[in-house]
Amino acid sequence: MLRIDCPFCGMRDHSEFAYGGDGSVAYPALDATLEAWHEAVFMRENIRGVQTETWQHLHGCRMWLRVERDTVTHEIHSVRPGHPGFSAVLGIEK
Amino acid sequence: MTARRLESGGIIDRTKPLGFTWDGRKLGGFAGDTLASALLANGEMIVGRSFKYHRPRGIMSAGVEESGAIVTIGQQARQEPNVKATMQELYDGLDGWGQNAWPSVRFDLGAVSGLFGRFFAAGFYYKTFMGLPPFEWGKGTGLWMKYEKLIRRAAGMGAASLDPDPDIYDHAHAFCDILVVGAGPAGLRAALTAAEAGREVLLVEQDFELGGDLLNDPLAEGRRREMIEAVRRAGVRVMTRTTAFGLYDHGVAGLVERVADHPAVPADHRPRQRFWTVRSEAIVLATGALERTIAFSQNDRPGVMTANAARAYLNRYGILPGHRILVATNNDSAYGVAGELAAAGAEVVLADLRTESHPKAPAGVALLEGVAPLEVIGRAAVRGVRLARQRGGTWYPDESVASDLLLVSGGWSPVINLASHRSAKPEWKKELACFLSGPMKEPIFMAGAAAGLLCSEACEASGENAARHAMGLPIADVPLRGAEHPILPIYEVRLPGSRAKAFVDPQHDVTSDDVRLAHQEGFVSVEHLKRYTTLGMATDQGKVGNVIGLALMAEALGKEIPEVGATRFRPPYTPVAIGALAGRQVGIHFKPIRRTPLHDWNLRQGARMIEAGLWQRSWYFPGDGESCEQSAKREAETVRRSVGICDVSSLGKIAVLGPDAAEFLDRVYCNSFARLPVGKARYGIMLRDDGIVMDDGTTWRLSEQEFLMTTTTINAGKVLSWLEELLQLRWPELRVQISSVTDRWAGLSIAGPDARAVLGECLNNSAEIEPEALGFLGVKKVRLLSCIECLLARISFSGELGFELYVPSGYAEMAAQQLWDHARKYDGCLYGLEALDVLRIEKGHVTSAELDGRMTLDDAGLGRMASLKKPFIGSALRQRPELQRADRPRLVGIIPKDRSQRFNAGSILCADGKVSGFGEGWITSVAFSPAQGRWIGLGYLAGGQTAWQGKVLVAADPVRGSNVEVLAVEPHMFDPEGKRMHD
Amino acid sequence: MTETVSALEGRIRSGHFGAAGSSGISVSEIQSFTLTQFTAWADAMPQAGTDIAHRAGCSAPAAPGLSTEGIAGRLLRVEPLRWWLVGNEPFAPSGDAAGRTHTVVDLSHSRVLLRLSGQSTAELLNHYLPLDLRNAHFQQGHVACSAIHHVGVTLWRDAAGFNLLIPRSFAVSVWSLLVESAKQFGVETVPWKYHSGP
Repeated sequence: MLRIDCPFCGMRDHSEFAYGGDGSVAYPALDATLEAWHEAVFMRENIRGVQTETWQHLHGCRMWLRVERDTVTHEIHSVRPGHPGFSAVLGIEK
Repeated sequence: MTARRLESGGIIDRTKPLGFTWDGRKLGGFAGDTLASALLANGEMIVGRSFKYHRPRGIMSAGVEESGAIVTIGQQARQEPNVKATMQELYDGLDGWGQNAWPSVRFDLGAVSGLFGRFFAAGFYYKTFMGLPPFEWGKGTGLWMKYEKLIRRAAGMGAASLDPDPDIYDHAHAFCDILVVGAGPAGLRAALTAAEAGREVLLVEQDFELGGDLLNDPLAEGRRREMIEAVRRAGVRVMTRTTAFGLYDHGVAGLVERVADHPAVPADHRPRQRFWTVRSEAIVLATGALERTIAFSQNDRPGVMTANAARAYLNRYGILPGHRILVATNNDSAYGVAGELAAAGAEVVLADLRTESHPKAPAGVALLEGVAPLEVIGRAAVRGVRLARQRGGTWYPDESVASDLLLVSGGWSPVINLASHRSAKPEWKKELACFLSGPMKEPIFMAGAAAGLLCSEACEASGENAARHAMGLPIADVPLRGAEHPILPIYEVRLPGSRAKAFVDPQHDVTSDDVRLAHQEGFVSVEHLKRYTTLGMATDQGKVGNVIGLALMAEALGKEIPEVGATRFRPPYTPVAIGALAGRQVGIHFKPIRRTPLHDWNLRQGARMIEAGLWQRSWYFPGDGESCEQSAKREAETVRRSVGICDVSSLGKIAVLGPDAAEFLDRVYCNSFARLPVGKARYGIMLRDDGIVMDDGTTWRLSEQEFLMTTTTINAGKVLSWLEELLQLRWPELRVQISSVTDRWAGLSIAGPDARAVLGECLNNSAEIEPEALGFLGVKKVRLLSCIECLLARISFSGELGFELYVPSGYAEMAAQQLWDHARKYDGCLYGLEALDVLRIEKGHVTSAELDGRMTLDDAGLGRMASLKKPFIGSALRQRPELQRADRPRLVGIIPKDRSQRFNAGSILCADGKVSGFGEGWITSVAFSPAQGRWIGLGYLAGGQTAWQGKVLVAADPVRGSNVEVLAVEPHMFDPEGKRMHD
Repeated sequence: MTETVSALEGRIRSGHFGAAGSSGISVSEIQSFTLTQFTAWADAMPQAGTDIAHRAGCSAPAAPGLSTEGIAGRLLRVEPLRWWLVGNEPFAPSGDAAGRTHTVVDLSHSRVLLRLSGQSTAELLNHYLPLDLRNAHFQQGHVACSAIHHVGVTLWRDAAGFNLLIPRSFAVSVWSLLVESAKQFGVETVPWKYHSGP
């Protein structure tokens, strides 16, 4: 079981979170080409080591997070809010 | 073996006698006994039969590593097989019996299979039943099918009850600074050290008594009580009868607490067991060590046990386990028990393999040097032991010693299982002849015997150090020191050419010959050895046999043990009941149940309910004696004729607010929302990134910056998370806020030609729903007669004049009752999901049966909804060439060729005369249409209706065994122009 | 005024259940509360927080993980930019849904509110909630969103004990689980109480 240090809620259990997907993908504009969308949606690295993932703190603050996780050790290196506005607000208050 | 209870000694309570039943006979024991100690005290020698050979087995240990005394406890629903008698606390009324034997463990007819022992050697099943690879793969399968039942009956463990478990199990969560596993001298001291430094400590112990090996030492009782008292005073949270069975990521440990495994029936409302998830900052593993045996001929006979087990039975339980006792050892640890047994009145001979360096024989003990046990004499009991002596690497027979109990000490295996769960590599320590845990990156610290220390003073010191490590404090050095005289490793004693049975893993009946056979046949890696022989795969998971097996394989390979390696231990350390894992999530709590605000009201009106995801929805409202089909037909007819009221509260509802709300919806939906006027609703479809349809529903514009989105019942949660993902990760620049308001509103659908009249009578101002005031797809806030403010939209799923009224949930019953009171005057009805399905199939409206996560807009016949003026989520990838093929499945209506015929949802649509394979399509939904007077359906068909114009199809239902001739038609099968709902 | 119907209507029998002797837990349903959601625009912070606190009658907006008691009720910080006001007025505060510094959504009726007290309450809640509820770690005023049996819930602690907001549709399911587990400690149930002021 993983534990994720939510920037808002603190350290919480895996069971409260939902895995999103590859956090390193920059999705193209909606009017981008089929090829660009194909690349963004279907092409994935199978990383052995640290990868960026998106997780939602579904049963918590509902924040979408970018999590750097080691796929070998499950070690979590960083957890950041996905939305810059959330980062700013939490930065102000911390 | 002629064991007997002593008049005094031990920490059992002789003032509290307990009665129990063994194999139907009434026996007695004392509080503080285990079932094993009580059986021993009663002179029960044979308490089990072995797995394959049905060999008689006695008590072999006094702990979790037990492989002989594996028994069944309890009757009927509470019958629990494979209980280790050595771990089962004795209680008044305990009902136990030996398993894997008929008629009893003392006289077992199955024991004849022992005579055919060579047929049961490693790989027997594979070779006999699977054919000789690679030429005969599978040829033995038929044989296997034939003999499987026989073999399964002959070989195996106890039988579980087939009745539902009557007991309850809890889950629980706990947090602490430091988790200490094991309450022996090291664990107690670690817990005390950390607690005195102000840490919150959780100390868990699998036994029902604290103390670990201190319990087995008659001189340590004072120290034990002192430490327990100190630990309690320091505020340590102590959990006994609790096993830490696994360590997981990020400091998480899994525990099972046996709350009520020691009465026959748990007291009122108490769980039998509790499954704990514990999170800690650091963990100290003071899990002790297990004594190993040695492989030699007939080493599994009743009356052979580990030396330390005898020590426990003597000192903890006050039992003299034998009278003429041979203690065979290769290390110092057995000297103590030899002396204690002699002092208690037994005749003790100590056979030490070592000749050069060993302690002095204790008082009253005869010492034989340089000998080891070669063979046990006696079948059902030990009558004597033949010894052997090694010269030049070969064993030669030596004298025999008459005895009734053989104690073996082949060295110690530290319990590093939990560290192994965290991927710590076992490292072989040659000087101690054991594996110790390798280094760990995580804050997990080994202490005491688990760290290779064998005297209680050193264990205490290492416990203190481990606790200080765990707290990040500096430590004093404790030398890794075993006994005074080094161990002389020995794993097997056998004469050259001997074919005697020497057990490595007695629980799975794996012998030393099996290990050599595995080597001979090429299964030389430890992982292959394990699987080929099943060594270490019994309920003890190799606690007894692993090291011996590895040593024998190393010898066969001519390698050292570390070169052979060790298998990784995996959770659980000891078996965990499935019931504990399930906890309370059984029966009606298997998953949470969602009820609408009208749940009870619907039931009071006679609703039958049906599951829709987690929701309970009203299915149909049967009149006298009506079936579901009859009721749904009547309800659908009533809606088309007058009016019906339906609870649609389960639809997902999402408030979408902010200056960019319209822009956001425009990006999310395939159709346009930017220019949706205030006070209007629109049906929208959203796609996934990959161009497949995700969900649909109506979205209502309440004001310039305020929308109410509805989703399907099933996808409500998914859509909310998806919109949050888009707003937080992809389009943070949009000023939009969303939140679920599903539970805030109850939804009531009022549909039918009389809907307006019925609704009007319930409103403060009925004029505001007149057609001029509220046109088709109009939205407004209205007040009920009671002045409660509601949201109203004029939308229709049924194809009739329809309204959806959203009432604050707490007022739902009041609103529903008012509507129903008026609807009755119009001869209206309440309708459920079944009638709703009839109505929408007639209209060709899609639901999750059609939008199943594989279909595109075009497939569902909704391609024209996609805006050409703006891009939206999925607009790029829906253009993929494969999704554009003309032979993609397309939504069609289905009618039977012969209008009296009925067909089923799930049928495969095949061309006439070609009923095979995947066919040309499939049927998603079927209903009896009162409007058409026949069965109709929706489905997908390659190329769509135009490709099959005038051609007969077969709705093939091979599962239910029917083939019905059908025709494909336009999906809108009733009022295709939509006149009725626009009126 | 029309009475609202609670999701637990008819499901709560008052009395003592489970283990005999003293009750480790007392549970009651709090009725007649309002629930109002305020969500700040990130770029309008910290002014948005001040405005929200003002509407709740609090001196300052609650910080992450905390709540504050105001004139209008208790203001819970539930998300980075979101507060819930558990109000004791019969109607939720009105105002523009989409305002300059924040938005407002009336969530009354969407939750059932339970109050749990007694010495075994934290232990009971920890049968389901994976939260650190030790006194030093979850003090009066602390707020946490988590899940009981897959159902998202909101918990806070005040002088009266633990308060639990459960989505209305799941309330019966969660209630029955809680009460069944509470029986081992002995449980006192009270049908309902009005939400009382600060």
